[in-house]
Amino acid sequence: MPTILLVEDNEMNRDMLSRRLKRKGYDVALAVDGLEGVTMALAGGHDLILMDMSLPELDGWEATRRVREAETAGRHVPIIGLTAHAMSGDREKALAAGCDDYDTKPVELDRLLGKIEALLARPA
Amino acid sequence: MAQARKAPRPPDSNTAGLARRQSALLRLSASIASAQTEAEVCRAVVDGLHDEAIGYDFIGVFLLDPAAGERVLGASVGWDDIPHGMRIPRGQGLSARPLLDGTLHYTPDVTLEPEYVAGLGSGSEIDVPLRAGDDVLGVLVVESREPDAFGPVDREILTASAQHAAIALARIRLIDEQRRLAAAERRRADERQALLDTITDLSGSLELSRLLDAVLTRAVTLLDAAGGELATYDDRTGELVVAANHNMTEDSRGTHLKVNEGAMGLVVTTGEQMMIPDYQTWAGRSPQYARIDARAVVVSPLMMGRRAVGAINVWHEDPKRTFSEADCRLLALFGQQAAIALENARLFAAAQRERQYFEVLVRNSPVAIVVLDVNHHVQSCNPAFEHLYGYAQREVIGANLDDLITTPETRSQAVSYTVQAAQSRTVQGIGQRRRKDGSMVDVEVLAVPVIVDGVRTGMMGLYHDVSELLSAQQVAEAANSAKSQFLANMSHELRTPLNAIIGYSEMLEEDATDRGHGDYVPDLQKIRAAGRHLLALINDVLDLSKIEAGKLELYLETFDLTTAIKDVATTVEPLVARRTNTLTVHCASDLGAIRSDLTRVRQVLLNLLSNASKFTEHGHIALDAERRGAAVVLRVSDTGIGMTAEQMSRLFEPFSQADTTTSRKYGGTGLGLAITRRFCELMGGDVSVQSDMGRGSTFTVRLPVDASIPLGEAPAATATGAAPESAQRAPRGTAVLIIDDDPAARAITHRVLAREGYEVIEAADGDTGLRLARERRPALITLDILMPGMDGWAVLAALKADPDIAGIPVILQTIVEDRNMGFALGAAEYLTKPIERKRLASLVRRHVPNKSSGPVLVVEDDEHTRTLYARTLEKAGWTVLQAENGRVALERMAAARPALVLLDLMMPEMDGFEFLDVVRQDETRRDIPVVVITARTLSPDDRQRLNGGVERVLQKRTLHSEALLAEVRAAAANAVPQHVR
Repeated sequence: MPTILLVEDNEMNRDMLSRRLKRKGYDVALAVDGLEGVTMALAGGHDLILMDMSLPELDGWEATRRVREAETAGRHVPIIGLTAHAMSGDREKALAAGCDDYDTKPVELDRLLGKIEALLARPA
Repeated sequence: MAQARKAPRPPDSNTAGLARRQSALLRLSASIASAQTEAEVCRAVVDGLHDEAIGYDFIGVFLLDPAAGERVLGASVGWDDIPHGMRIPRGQGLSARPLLDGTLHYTPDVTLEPEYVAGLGSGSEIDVPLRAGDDVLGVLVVESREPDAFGPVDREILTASAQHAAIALARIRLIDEQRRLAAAERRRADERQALLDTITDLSGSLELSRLLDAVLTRAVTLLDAAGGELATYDDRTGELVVAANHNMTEDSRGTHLKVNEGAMGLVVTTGEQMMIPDYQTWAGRSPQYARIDARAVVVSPLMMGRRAVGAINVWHEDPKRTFSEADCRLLALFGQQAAIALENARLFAAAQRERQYFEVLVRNSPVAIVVLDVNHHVQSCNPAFEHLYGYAQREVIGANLDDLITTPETRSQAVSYTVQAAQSRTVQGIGQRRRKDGSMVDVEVLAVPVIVDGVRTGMMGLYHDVSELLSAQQVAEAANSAKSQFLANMSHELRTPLNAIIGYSEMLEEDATDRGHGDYVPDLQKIRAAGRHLLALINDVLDLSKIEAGKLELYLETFDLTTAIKDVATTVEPLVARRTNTLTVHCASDLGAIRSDLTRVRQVLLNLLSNASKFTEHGHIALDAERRGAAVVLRVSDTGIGMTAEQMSRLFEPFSQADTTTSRKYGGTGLGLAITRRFCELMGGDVSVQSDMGRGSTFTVRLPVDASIPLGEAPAATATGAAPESAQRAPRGTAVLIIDDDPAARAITHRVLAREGYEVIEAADGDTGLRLARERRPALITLDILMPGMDGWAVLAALKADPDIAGIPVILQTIVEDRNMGFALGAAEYLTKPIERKRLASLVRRHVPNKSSGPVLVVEDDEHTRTLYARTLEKAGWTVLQAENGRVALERMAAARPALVLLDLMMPEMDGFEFLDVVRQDETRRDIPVVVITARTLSPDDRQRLNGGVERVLQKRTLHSEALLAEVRAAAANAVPQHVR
């Protein structure tokens, strides 16, 4: 089963989203801030990363940039950025930082699952 | 003339006599030779031949005046009563003959000659030409009382004498000619000197009055005239003013002369010099010169190119003196000099004025101004400069400007400005400069090269203190960004817990379903729905506040509208299906691409379509798009529940769903339409709604094809889309809009108008009033002035500034007494509070037809005109009856009593006069107001027939639709409806 790394600082959101993903059959690894997210992402073993953008220590954009910088050639973990801002420009900003897709919170689970499946189906 | 004559001397009578005669002839020759003038020559000839030794008694010498062809008597003897200077016309008398052939003529018996001009009456005469070379200068005439008294000796003596005389005359004339030439030469030299002196004067002094004095004095002196005058001419006032005079009996300076008044007044219009031989008898003399002794006068205009700037005249007192051609020429030269002097003085004065103007400007300018020479050294500065930098002018003059007001940090920018300005470029920028006390100031700098006649003479620096502006701007920007940040934060802080609420409720819902606790599901759904609603609210508030704060920016791109519309349709498909509605989309084939904000256009359409889906069940929703000139029109119509007018009026306000129960029943935040409207406006368009309660609603969005050219401003829209555009414009309703913040006043007005049968809309403040005016297009507006927020003046100005609603008549109802202001802003009527019910009712009636007014009967035989009137009136809300002549009109009136009759006079069958006669006889109908519209000019007879019978007589050709409506309203208002009586 694919493993998803969820980087989210809000405990409730983290708990809720991870449980709903697990229910849909995914393995979920958790990180609580940007720094931990980067460390875990670089340790490897995840098929996809869900990255909240407003994080303590290191924000999601910066964390995404670091992950992309550290990735060796041929390796690319899909990252979906999540923000609660829904401000115009957020999407562009997330993609520019290295995200493969973007979604707004509160999460509409079906929509998010669609995006996850699409990215996982993509040949690496 | 007859005189005793000695007997003619017999020739050669004796030798002694011969000797005496010889010596007399010698004396004659000597005296001729010594003569200095022509007169002396003539005298010498006559006296010599009269000598006793020669013995002629009747002798005359005539000199020829070549110009007149006449002989002038130079000297004579014996003809005592013939005056000196007597002239004989050409060809007359015997003495004319030698002039013709140059030979001596002898007439032995004058009585036989018909040409003989009676002198002695009888005897003989000899005529000898005075010949010098080929020229005959005159005639020597000798007469005798005896017939045939002259022999060969006489011929010899007289021929010799004549020859001597002729030679002497020729010599004298030669000498005279030489003298004259020499004098002319001297005179020309004098002229040149005088002009030279004048020019020197002119360049030496710029004081105009002294200059003109000098010019005139020279002219008078040089022409040896008795006096003269010089006047300046101003072609704007059309007057001459004497500026200098010379030897006038009274000082004429300051005398005003009109154009064509006197000689000077004449020459400024003709532009030509003028010579008056005798001023005393000249017909054109001005009464202002009645006492002047001038005789010959010459006047020259002072010309600058083709423009007269003045006139100069000189005059002689001596009636015998005249002005020669040379004199005239000379005066013209002086005139030119004076004209140049005047023009220079004028230019100088203009330059002086301009300089003073700029000096005042620079001295009082709030902008610091400093002038530098080419070496960047300060030449001058103004008080604002002193004030801005704290330097006194004396401290900066001569200093290098950059040394004074720059720091090492700002120097490079300052120097670059200076260098660029030195390269003849104007440079502008914002920077910091140093004051004398070392403090810094933010300035807007303008460095301008100063170029005079193509040569750079330095530069000018202008400094505007912008420190306050900059700090204000920084504060404003900081506040704005704080606000944006706050909004973003709030939104985030609110969403995060919402995220949990929605997410957990969804999870629980799934769990409950999975584990067979179906009874929990509806409650969980309510939690989730409430969460979703709250989320939508937050999103909308965020949008709205961004719009309100002006923070919502458009991202303009060109996109294909049909594609965008199809996309939206696909998105809403599930929503539409939820209440078993159907959706049809129609896009006109010429819709094409527009330049707008795609996201916002989608949002607008989504809002309207989801609204339509929400309020329609088992119905139909249609989305139509078409292009109209520079606009695209998107129409979303449904067959849903519709709205009342009252509901529509609040529709686009935030948090004002049509009914407070609707949000419970249909959901939604109540912000969607407010946002939709603001988006449309932001994109340069608008949105409007039409609805029938229970039948459905149609929302119409108009957007400009290019969002950067808002609809109101697009010239193409009026050019190509005018007709359909105005047809589309909502027709003016029949309602009356009350704008008043005072509920009591609104209530009273409402009641009065409702009783009159009007539909009434109310607005409690200016903004709402304006919006309702635009949406509902009432037939009339009553407006209060003193209102909180937007006051009545502002509302009135805004109403009149919007072409769509500017035509709605506005009645001001207020305690403020300022009629002029009201009318100036375009109010139709002015009523002071407290409200007088009757007055209000009658004024409203004047402007708005109401149902109780009854129809307007148009009686007019020309079908085209009749239809035109009918259509105009119908558009304004009147019911119209038509009749093509008086007879038909009477039939119509029998069927329905009209509120008013519009009557043409010239008609077949029964004309207007006959019709009126019938109506006025009828007790029940005589009070119906009649307005006559006629193309004919009424004769006194016509007027007599109409007398008192009609309300107004209007001329057809000057009648436009607005005027027609105004007349109809006024006439109908005067006729109080039957049922109110």
